[in-house]
Amino acid sequence: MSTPELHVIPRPAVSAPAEPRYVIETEALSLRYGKKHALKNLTLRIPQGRIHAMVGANGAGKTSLFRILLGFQSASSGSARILDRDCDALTEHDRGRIGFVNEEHSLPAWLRINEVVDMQRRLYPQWNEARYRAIVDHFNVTPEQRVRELSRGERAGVNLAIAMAQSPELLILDEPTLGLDVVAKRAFLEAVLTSVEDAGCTVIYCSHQMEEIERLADNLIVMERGELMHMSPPDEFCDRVMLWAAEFPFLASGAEYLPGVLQVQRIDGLFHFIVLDQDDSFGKQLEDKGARRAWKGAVDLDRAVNAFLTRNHARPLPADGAIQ
Amino acid sequence: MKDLMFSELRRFRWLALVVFVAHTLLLVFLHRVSNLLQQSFLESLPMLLIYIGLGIALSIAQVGSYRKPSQWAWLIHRPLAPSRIFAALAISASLLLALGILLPMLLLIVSTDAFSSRVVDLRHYLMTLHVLAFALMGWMAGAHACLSRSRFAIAVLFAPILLALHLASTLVLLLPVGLALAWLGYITLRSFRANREASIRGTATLVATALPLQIGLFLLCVVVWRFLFVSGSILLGVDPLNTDYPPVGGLIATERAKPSVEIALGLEASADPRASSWREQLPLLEPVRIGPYLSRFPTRQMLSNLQLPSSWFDDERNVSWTFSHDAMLFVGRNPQSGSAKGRFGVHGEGDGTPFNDVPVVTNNGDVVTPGTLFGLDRDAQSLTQRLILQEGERFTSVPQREFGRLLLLTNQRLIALREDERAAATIKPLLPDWEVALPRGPQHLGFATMVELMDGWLVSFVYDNGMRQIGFNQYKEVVQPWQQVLFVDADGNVDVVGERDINPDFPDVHRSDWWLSPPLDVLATVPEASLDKGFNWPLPLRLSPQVNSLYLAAALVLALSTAVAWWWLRRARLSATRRGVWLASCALMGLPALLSLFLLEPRELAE
Repeated sequence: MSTPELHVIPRPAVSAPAEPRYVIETEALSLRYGKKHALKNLTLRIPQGRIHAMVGANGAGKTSLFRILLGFQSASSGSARILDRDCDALTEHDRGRIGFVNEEHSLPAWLRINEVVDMQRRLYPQWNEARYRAIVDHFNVTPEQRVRELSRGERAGVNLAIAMAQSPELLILDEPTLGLDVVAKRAFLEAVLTSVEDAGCTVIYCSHQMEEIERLADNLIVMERGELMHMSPPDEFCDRVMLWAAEFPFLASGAEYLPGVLQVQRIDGLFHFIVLDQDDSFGKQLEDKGARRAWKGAVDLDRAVNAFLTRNHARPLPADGAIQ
Repeated sequence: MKDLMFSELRRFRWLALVVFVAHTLLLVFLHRVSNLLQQSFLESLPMLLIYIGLGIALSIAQVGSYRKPSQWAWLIHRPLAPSRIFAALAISASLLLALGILLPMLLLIVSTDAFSSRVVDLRHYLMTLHVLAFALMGWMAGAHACLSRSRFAIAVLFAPILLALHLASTLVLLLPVGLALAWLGYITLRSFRANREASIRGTATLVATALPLQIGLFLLCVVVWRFLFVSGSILLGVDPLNTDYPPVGGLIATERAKPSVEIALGLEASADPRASSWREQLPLLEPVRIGPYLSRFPTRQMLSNLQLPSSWFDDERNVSWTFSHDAMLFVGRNPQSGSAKGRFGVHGEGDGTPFNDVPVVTNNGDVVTPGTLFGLDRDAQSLTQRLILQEGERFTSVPQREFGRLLLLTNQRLIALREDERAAATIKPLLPDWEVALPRGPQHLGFATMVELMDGWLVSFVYDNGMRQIGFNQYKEVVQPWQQVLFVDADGNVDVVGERDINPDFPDVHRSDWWLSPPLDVLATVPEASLDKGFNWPLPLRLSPQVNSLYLAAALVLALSTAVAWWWLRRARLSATRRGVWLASCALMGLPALLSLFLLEPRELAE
């Protein structure tokens, strides 16, 4: 299946504020369910503005983090602030500044679309009708339709349009495009970019769709087992992860245990090593293991993140392989 | 808030309409079968429970649908205070319940009032408000349980119902019902918070939430304890109510004995020289029993009728006389034509003089109010005043006609009266014969047994063991069962001729619930003791049982509850104040407080 052509979306030029102000700050944040850690000493500072993509396997702690940030859950220890406010003490005014969309796109099924929109319009004084129209027009829905009559994709579209039209200062999107077709997804992503550009909205974007993240994200946050593993622009992450292809006469015996190896695949007779934080000396190491020849190449974000998250956790990363 | 409220109304409007139509049809159907407005409380109770159940069902459908984290986020994460979100949901639920429950009842009452000659009083209109309030309490408790950590939080419903559901005047009940609703409203309001799993904030909110839960859990503990005790006793074969023969010398044996045997038991230890002669005579005589079975009279504008007749049917004239609480007299109606047939006051038909109290009508033509006995002449349709009790004295039984006398039991004495046969009137005047004061007052009097001898009367009073059921309420108190036998001579002089202590049959810990939680046992009695429910003797506020075994049991339960609470809290992430509040609560309230701790306080262990 080919990936959608998202590269045509213009990336807005976002200037960083002179003094960085953090929309989200956590300090040694931990959350335990019995003996299991959902979040473990998470210290995270997300600056204002831009689109911050959060990736991680299921159980990485992303949803738990959002629940704590929105005040739906208390942390076991540590502190969390959102828009300069303790997450446990969010007022209705604060909630009006924070948009939140989850993958289930909960909307009152018994109402018509125009009734939901009217309700939200009255709640949010900064409602942006043009932005709502810009997104919702991509969906084949009529205002008189009841929410329960919408397909999952249509419901997602309406929900996203409403969330964007509320013009929040901070928008948290948890798997927002699940179920959207290519056209709708593109419309939505355009709206996200526009809202960042127009209103300086900060977006926390959680997704497993790497092509979306690659095109949208200014900042990549990788979480794993409740811990922050990486935070930087996506390009920097890609720079840390390299592909080494090697040709072995027999088997690559022991090569998978070389330091920094995230993933080994055999493709068309060649061994593909995806490695983290390794310089050119890695090629020499492969040759020491019996490789006839080895050469390196770049990997895209999808493959880099995938290799990072699916690595063999029994082996430690290089000393500097984790958190920035 | 208005939008959210209208949204919820839209959501359930069809369901509410269906309930409205079905409820209206059901009420009309039942009203055709019997007069719904004059039903006894026992007949009305199932309907009330259904209404409360409807409130709970609506809360589960409405608030329960927001339990899922994503739905909860949609509801709460908006620029609207949680209190206003709660208000929107609560108001919409009130309107829906009013449509489904209140409106059909009001329609029935208004149409009965306007288009029929049936009695409709102010209490019937007020009753609809009370019913709506109880349905709303069900909604509040259900909503609170839906948003709480544990479904057992539904137990908060017991305390407001304990406070508000009483057979008292509908006017007086407005206060406890309003208080109960406000209390539950506050608790439910506080449960509308983003973090539903978090510990309750503020000591005042914690106490307001925990107390009704603890009262509910106390009642649950009582039921579980009784079940365990009785089923355990049956398993061991020592339950006195479930053996072939009840224990000798016990209360159950006394109650089950023939009246003659019962009096003989009371005379067993008698030092009176005539006792052996009486014991020989007794099997040949036919003693009768009279008991304080009329524990209460109806009060004016009572929520529902007691299971006592407050109307009679004159089949000769085809008139049904029903008592009106508004007019305080009987109102006549021809059931065939439905036409009004006038009124019946203190002096009989056509008289408009109201009664001072709501009367009870017996099958023998006696009309009894708490302090006055009237005789009803059905032929003349007149009412004659036959006996007025002294100040503070109340009848505790309806007149019983035995031995050619009219026997009456009051909260102070047992009275035997003779009818003056010389009088020409249909309702003859009453002449005093003899009377005996109740030896230990009306409290715990089981029954009195009497038999006529050649030279006088033997009267036996049996006092029970304190386990007493009045309506749905149990008033358990540890008292020593006791019997006294008196001889009343022909001149009315009274001699005590026999006394004995009776074995109570049950251990102290089964005869009282006080030890399970002394303060909650007292608290559960307060509404009963403070409301005028027409009881013929005052209900005691059980502050202290004065029984050593119960003090010991209470101390053990309190100590054990506190110890378990300390163990539970020792590593919990709680402030010292909160920990202290819980430990103090367990030390004071015992087991129900400990159970409420498990339900209300998330046990997050400190790092």
